[in-house]
Amino acid sequence: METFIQIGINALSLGAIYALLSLGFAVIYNTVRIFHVLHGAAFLIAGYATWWLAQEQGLPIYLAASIAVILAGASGIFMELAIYRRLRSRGAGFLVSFLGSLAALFFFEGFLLTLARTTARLPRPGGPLPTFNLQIEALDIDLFVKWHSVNTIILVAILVVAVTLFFRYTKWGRMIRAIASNPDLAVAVGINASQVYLMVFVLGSTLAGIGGVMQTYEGGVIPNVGIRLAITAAGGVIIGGIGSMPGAVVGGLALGLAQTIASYYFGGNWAIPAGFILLLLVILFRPYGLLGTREHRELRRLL
Amino acid sequence: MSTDAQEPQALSDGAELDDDQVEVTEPLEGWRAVVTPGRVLIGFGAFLLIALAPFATGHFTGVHVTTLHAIASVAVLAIAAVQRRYGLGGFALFILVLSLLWRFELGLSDEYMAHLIVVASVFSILASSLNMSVGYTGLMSLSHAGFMGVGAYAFAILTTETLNPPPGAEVFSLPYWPSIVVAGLVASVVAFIVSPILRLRGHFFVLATVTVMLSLSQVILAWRWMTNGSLAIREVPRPVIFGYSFDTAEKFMLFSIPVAIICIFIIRQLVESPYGRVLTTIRANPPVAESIGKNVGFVRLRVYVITAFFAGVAGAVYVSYVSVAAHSQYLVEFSTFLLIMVVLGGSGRWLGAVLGALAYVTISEVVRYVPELTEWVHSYISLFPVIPGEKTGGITTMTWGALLFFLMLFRPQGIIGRYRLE
Amino acid sequence: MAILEVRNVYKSFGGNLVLEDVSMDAELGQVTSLIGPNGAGKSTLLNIVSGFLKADSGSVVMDGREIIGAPPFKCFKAGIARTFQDSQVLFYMNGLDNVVVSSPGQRGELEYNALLRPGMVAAEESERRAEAMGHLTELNIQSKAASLSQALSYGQQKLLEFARMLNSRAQVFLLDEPMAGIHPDLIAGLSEMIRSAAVDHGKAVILVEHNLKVVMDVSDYVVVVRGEVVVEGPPSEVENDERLTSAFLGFVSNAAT
Repeated sequence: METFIQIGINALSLGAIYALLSLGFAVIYNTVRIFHVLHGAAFLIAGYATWWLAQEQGLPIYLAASIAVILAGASGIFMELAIYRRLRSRGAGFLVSFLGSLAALFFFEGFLLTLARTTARLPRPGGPLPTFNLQIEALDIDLFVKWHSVNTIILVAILVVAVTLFFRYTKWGRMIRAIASNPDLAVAVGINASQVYLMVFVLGSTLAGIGGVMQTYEGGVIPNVGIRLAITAAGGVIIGGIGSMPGAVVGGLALGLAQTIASYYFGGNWAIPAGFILLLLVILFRPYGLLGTREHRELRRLL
Repeated sequence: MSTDAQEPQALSDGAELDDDQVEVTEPLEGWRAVVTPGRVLIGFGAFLLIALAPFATGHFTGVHVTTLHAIASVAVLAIAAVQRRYGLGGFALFILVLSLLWRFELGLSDEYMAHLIVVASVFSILASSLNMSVGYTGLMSLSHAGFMGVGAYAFAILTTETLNPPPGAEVFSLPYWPSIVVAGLVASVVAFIVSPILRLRGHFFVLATVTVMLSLSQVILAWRWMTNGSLAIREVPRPVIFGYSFDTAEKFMLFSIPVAIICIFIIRQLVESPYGRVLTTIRANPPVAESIGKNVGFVRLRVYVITAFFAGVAGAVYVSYVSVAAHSQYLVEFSTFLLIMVVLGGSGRWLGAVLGALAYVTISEVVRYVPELTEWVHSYISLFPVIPGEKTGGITTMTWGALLFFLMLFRPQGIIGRYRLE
Repeated sequence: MAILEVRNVYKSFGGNLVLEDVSMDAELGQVTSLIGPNGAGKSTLLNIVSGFLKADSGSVVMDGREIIGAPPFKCFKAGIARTFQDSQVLFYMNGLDNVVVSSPGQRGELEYNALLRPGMVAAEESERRAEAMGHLTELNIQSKAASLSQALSYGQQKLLEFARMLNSRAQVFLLDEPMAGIHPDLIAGLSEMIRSAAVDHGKAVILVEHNLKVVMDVSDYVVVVRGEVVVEGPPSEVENDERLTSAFLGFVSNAAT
C-alpha cells in the first residue's frame, strides 16, 4: 500500500511535467499539423534561462521562472516566423517540415552545447529541495514527499483546467478550434490563420516552458535531450489519442507512470526505455490511443 | 486501332511542367545503363575524383596526386557543365575545394586519412541501405541507426568475451566471418519483430521508427548483463585473413572498402532491377502498386528486413574497427545524420547515398575543426560554469543543423536526387 | 459464360446500405457500363471487385474462381485491372517504367532473381520493354517514354494509365470515370480506345461513367445502379426506359429534401 502510494505520487509529479509537454505539443499539432520536434527547445530554453537567472544572476526563483516562461513563449513566435512559415511558403510537405524542424532543433542544441561546453547536468539551482513526511496513522502510512512534487501536481492541474477553459470560452480558443477542425472553412469566414498559428505556438511553447522550469527546479537540466523530450511529448499525445486534449494529459501521465514503475521494479536504468516501449506498444496495438476520438476513424482508414 | 482523334498537339496542350528543379526527362535506362562516351568519361572522372580525394589530401603521396586530382575535378566540372548536370558539377567543385583546403591548410596524417576512409565506407553501406528504404520504397525510417547499433552489439557479444557473463553461462566467442553475417541477421530479426509498424503511414510511421530507434538504444544501455551497459564491450577483435591481421586503420581500410563495395553492389543490383521498379512504384503510389499486382505490405516488410541486414553488417564492421562497442547517446543524432547523407546525396539514386556519405565525412572533417571556435566563443560569452563531463562539438551540431535546414528549404532532392521529398 | 460474375453483393458503411443485392456480369469482348447518380455505389462496386473494399456478403467469380475478399494484388493476378478516378500515374518514374511495371509475373521482381540471375532478368526485361513500348506506340505517346510522368499533361497521363492497363494482360478492365476532367476534344478518341480494348483486344471492360452520351455510344450492355440494379439491358433499350430517368431524378429529389 505504502509503495503504491509512493509510486503514485512520484508518477504523478513526473507525469505532470510530461503532461504539460504533451499538452503543448497537442495544441500545436492539432492546429498546425506539423510534427513539432522543436518543441523540446522551448523546454530547454526555459530550463536554462531559469538556471542562469536564478543561479548566476541571483534573481529570486519566482522572478527567474516567470522570465523563463515568457522567454519560452516568445521562442514560439520565433519558431513560427523564422522556421515554419518559411518552410510553408516553399511548399514543404509533412516530411520536409519534420526534417526542417529537426534541423532547427539540432541547431539549437548545438548552440546550447556551445554555451554549456559539456553534456553534464547542471544541478538544480539552490540547495536541496524541502521535503515533508506524510503520515496517515490509520493506514500505517509513512511517506517521504517533496513539496515540489505537490506544487507541480497542483500547478499542472490548474494549468490543464485553465487551458480547457481557454479553449472553451474565449474568442481565441474558439478561433483555434475552428482552424483545427476545418482550416479552409475557418479562413473563409475570416479567421486569420497566421495569427492563430502564432497564438498556438506561443501557447504550446509556454506550456513546454513551464514544464522546463518545474523540471529544472527539481533536478537540474541537461543540454542534449531535445529530441527525447520532443518524442516524449509526441508520445504522450499518441498514447492519449491524437486530437484529444485530455488524451494528451492522460498520455503524459501514463508515460510518467510507466517510467516510475519500471524504475522501481527494474532499476533506474529501465525508466526511459519503459516509456518508449510503452509508446511502441501503443503505436502497434492501439494506434488511435487510449482516448482517441476525433481522428479515430481517419487513423483507422490509414492503417 | 484508330488513334486519329488523338492528335499530338491536342494531347500536349497545357503540359503541366513540374518544378524546374526536377529534370523533366531522364535518359531511358534499363536494367543496364546505356554506355556512351560522355558517360564513360564522366564516370571515370568521378571515380578519379572520389578515389583520389583522400590521397590528394593526405600525406600519402606528393603533390603529383593533388595535381592529378585537381585535373580530374576540373575535367568532371567541365563535362558536367556541358551536360548540364549542375548537381554533379557542384559536387565536383565541392570536393576539389575541400581537398585543396585539406592538402594545403590542414595537412592530415596518413593514419587519419585511412580512418576517414574506413568511416566513409561504413557510412556508405548504411546510407545505401537507408536509401533503399527511404529513397526507393518511401519508408521514411529513422530506425536504421538502431539496427546498426543492434548489429554492432550482436557482433561484439558474439565475438568477445564479455566482462561479466551471467553466472553459469558459457562464455562464447564465434569465429569472425560468420559473426558479421549473424550480426546482420540479428538486426534483420529485430526489424522483423518491430515490423508491425509498417502498417502505419505518414507521421505515425516516422514517429514509430524514432520510437524503435530510441527503444533499441535505451534497451542496449539498460540491458547490463548482456551489453555491459554504459561500460561498453572492449577488445572486439579485428579481422584476420590467412594470418594477415587488419589491425591498423591503413590495413583495415583494405577490408572495409571491399565489404562496402560488395554491399553497395548488392543494393545497386536490387534497386536497378525490376525489383527496384516495384519499390519506386510503391513509393509513388501504394494503391496503384497494389492494383497492378504488387503485394505492397510484403514488399515493404522485405525491404525493411533486408535494409536492416545491411545496417547490421555496417554496425559489425564499424564495431570491429573501433573495437569498442560503446553505447552512444548520440544515436538519435546519428540516425538523423544518416538521413542527411541520403537526402544530401539524393534520395532514389543508388550512387546518391554513396556521394552523400562521402560528403558527410568530408563536411564533418571540416566542421570538426570548429571546436576551437567554441573556446573562442567562450572567451566572450560564458553563461554557465564549466562542469566536468563529455566535451562536445556544439558548433559542429549547429553547423549540421543549419546545413540540413537549408537543404530542406532550398534543395530537398539533394545533389543528384531523382526524387523530391515532400 | 461470363468471365466475371458478380452475385448478390451487399455493402454498407456504418449502417448505411450502399449496395443491396447487386448482380452483374461482364463478357469478354464487350463493354459493360455502370451508370447511376452520385453516391449510387458504382465506385463501391468497382472497389469491391478489385479488392479495395470488402463486401458484407455476396460473391465475385472471376474466370471460375471466387475472389471476393481477396486483396487487390490477388484480384489483379486473377485478371482484373483497374484505373482510378483521378489520374494516378507514378511520379518520379518515366513513361516507359510507368507501363512496364504492370507486366505480370516478372521474375526480376524477386530479390533472388534480381541478384543471382541477371542474364535471365535482362532478357526478360528487354522483352517486356518492347511490349510496353508497343502499347505506348499504339496510344501515340511513344515520344513520352523517357519523360517523367508528372511532366505530362492530364490527357497524356490518362493515356499512360490506359497503356499501363493494356500492358497488364488482364482479362477484365475496370475503368473508373475515365472521361472526368478530359478535354472535350479528346472524348471521342478515348471512347474509341475503350471500344478497341473490348473489340480488338478482346477484353471485358466495365465502365463507370457520368457522361451518358459516351456510355450509350460505347457500351454493349448498360447497368443502371442506385443502391440496387434499377434496370439493365442493351443501351438502345435502357436509353428509352423511364426507370433510367427516374433513377437520376429520384436522386435529385432526394438531394433536394
